Amino acid sequence: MKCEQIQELILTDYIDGRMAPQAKGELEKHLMTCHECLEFARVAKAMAVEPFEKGTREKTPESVWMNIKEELLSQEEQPAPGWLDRLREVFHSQFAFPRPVAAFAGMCFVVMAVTLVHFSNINRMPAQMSAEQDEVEYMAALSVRSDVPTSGYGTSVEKYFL
Amino acid sequence: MQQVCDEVIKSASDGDVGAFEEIYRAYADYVFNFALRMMRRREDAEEVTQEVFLMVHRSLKNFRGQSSLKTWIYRIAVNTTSNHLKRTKAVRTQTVEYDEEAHAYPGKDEGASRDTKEYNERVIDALLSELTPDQRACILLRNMDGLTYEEIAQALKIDINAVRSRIKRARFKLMAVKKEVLAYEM
Repeated sequence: MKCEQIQELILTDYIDGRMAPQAKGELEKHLMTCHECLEFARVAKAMAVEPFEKGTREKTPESVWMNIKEELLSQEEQPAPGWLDRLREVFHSQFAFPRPVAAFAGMCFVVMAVTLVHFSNINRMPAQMSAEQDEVEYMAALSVRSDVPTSGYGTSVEKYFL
Repeated sequence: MQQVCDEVIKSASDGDVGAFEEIYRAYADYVFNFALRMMRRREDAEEVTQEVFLMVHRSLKNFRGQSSLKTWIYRIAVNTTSNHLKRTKAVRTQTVEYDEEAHAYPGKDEGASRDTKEYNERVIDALLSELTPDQRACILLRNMDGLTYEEIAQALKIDINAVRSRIKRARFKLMAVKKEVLAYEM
């Protein structure tokens, strides 16, 4: 193994005691012959591990628990959730999506709906137009019907007056 | 770290405040100290600890036991601290009230008091200030709280090789801190 690989192992698995006995033995054998890696291991322990071992743990102020307890008790005093709340909770637990996903899905839905409405209007317009055209044509056809004489109705009264 | 049995977790998730207090007592100091080292301000650490345990209480029903309660609580602590850091960072860049001197390396003239608890705390604080929040979280979980690489991976929701890589980079950085600057006896 090269010194570079040895030093990477020193910084992680060796210092943290995660090496298998055989690999650890090989590494320590290297340290006996390589002064640079031995010094590296010494500085690594002194600078990156030992200062933290001397660190102390502070007690959490009691006021934190008092605030939490107060909050929990105030939640208990609130009325029990109704069936609608429980249904909402079940829905959320079963179909919980991250907000961005829900927003994206909503946006897609709106775009699809707008597109659908737009295309359905385009398809409907020729149908409307043809219905109007039919009506005009029908009216025109009525005015030129061959069985209805345009000059009169051919009755005797009409003949008398004309 | 004190272990909490399954019955206590079950009772707490059913709303038993006494059982929840047992969980709180077992893990509060770890969460508080983690937050304190990450946030560097007591007020922030207290706020984060409170937020973490209220979240734990709300989410306890969803705890399936896939990871240990300890790593599950650490995960909530890491997320809450990270969110809090982002929020406070935004506020502090506007107000410019961050006290840099409080996080500076202890000077050489303080050599006489090197063995004191206060001196060592300042050394730790100064070393941690060299790291990014991700690296700081890894080093704290490993060196201060003694979590294994596997537990850190679960708590941070990252691959175990990513844990190894962050720890390696963080320790390289710590080694690069010159001992004259640190005034730390090796």
